[in-house]
Amino acid sequence: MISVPRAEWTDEDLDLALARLGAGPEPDLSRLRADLLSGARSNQPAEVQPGRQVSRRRFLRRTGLAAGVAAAAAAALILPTVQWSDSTQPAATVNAAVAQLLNRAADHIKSTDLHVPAGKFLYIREDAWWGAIEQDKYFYVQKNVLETWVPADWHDEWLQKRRFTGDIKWIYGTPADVPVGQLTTLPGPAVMHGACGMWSSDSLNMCSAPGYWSGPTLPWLAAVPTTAGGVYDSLYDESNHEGKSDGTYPSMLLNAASGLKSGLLPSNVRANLYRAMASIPGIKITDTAMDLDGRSGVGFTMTDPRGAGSYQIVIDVNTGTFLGERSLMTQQDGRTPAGTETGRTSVYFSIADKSGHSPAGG
Amino acid sequence: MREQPAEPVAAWFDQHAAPLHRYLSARVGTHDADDLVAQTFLIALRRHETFNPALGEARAWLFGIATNELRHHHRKELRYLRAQSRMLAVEVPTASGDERVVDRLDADAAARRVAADLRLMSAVDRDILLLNAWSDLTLAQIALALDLPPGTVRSRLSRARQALRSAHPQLSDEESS
Repeated sequence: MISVPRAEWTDEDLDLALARLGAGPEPDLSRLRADLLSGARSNQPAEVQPGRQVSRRRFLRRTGLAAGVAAAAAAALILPTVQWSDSTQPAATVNAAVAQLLNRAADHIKSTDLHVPAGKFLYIREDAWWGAIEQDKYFYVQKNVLETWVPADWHDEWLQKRRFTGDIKWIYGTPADVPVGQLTTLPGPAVMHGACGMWSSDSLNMCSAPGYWSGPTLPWLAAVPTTAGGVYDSLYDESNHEGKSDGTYPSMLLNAASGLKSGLLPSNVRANLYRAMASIPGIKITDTAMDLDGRSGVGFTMTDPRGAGSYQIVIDVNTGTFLGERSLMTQQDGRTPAGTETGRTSVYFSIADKSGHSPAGG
Repeated sequence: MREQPAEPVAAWFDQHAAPLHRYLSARVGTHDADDLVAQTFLIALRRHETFNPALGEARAWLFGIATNELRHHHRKELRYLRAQSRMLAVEVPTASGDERVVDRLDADAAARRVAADLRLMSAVDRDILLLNAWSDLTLAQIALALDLPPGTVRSRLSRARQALRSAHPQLSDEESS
C-alpha cells in the first residue's frame, strides 16, 4: 500500500482531509422511516427491524450483481451458471477457468493443511514490499519482513517481529528527496507480543472478539459459514461499506486475501473461501504460472472499477497454498508508468518449535 | 392511558435522521449506518418518556444514543477506517497533468492519513473530533451528547486536532475521560 509522507498541517488542511474522508451521498431514509414507524405503531419489538432491512438490501444487491455479470458474459469467455442452494443470491455467472482453478485449490487443501501440535507455534513470515510516495517527488518500495508466532493454544503468548531489510526499489526520486529518518524508521514497534494476539490495548483479541475475515478470531471461526454460498454472503457483507457495489468486489478479494494471509483459517474454511471467490464479479486469471519470489502459482486479479489500480493474489492451486499478493498501477500516473508494482507480499507458513525462533527454511 | 410514543419520535426522525445518518455513514459506512440509525430511534422510542427537554436538545440526546451504540461497533469502525485508508489509495488520474485529478489525489492521500491516524486515537477523542467535524453539534451539544464537561470537550478536541495535524502525532489509544 502507498503511504503518505508526514508533514505538519494547518487547520484548513485537516478540515479538508476530514471533509474528504466523511464525504458521502445523501441518504434516502424513506424506507427506514416507514419500517421504524410501522414497527413502533404496532408496538413490535425494536430489535427485529434492522435485520429485516439488511435482508431486503441484500436481495436487491444480489439482483443487481447477477444482472451486471450477465451483461459482461455476453462479450467475454464467461460461461456456466451456478446456484448455491444455501446462498441468498440469485444465480451468478462465473468465469469457468477461474472456478476450475479455485475449485482445484479447494480440493487439494486438506492434504496440505498445517496442524500445530500442542506447545508449538504456527510460524508466518511475510516478505512485504510497501510503497511510499510524494507525488512527482519520490516513489519507492521498501522491503519489510514480518514474522509471527501463533501458539497452538491461542490463549498463550503470541509474538510478532518486524524489520526493514534495507532493500529499496526506486520508481523515481532519490534518498535526498525523502524526509530524514523515513527510510529507517519502522511505523511501529519492532517486537510485539501478547496473549490472544493482543499487541496493545487496542488490538483485536483473537480469543474473544467477534472477528471478521481479515481478523479471524476464535468466536468468529466457530460461527463462520460452512458452505461456499454462506461464505460468499459473509464476505460480501463485510466488504460492502458504502451500500454500493463498485468498491465492494475489489474489497472482497482484499478481505479474502487478508484472511488467507493470516494463516489462521482452517482448511475447510479456506476451501469454501476459494469456491466463493470464483463468483466475485470481475475476478480474472492474470497468469497461470506467475512467479512470486521464486514460487509459482496462479494469479487472480481484481481491477478497480473506477479505472484505478489492480490487486492480485497468487495461489498454488495444486496444494491450495496462498503464496502472496501484488498491487499494480494500471495506468500512467505522472512519473509512474502503467504496470508499476506498488506493493508485494510473499507469505510462508510452517511450524516452529519455539516462539521467536525461525524454523529452518522459514 | 400512556401516550403512544411514535409521533414525537416521528418528528425527531424527520428533523434529525438525515444528519445523524450522514454522521454515522462517515464513521462506519452507509450499510451499517442504516442499522445504527434504526437502532438509535428504537432506543429513543423506548426511552422517550425519560427524555427531559429541559436538560438539552433532542438532537444532542439522539447523537448521544447513536455514539453510544457506535461503541458497540468499535471494531467495525476500525475496519472501515482501514478500508478507507486502503481503497482510497487505488484511485489514479485518468489524464496526467489534470489539476483537478491531482487535487483529488492529494485530498485522497490526506484522507488516508487521517483514516490511519484515527484508528490509533482513543474512542472518546475520536467521538469528540468526528462529532465536531461531521455533525452540526456545537461544543456544548457534544458535551451533552457524550456526558462530558464542556471544558473537557474543548481541551480534548484541541489536543486531538493538534495530533492529527502534527508530522509526528502522539495519538493515545488509552481510554480515559
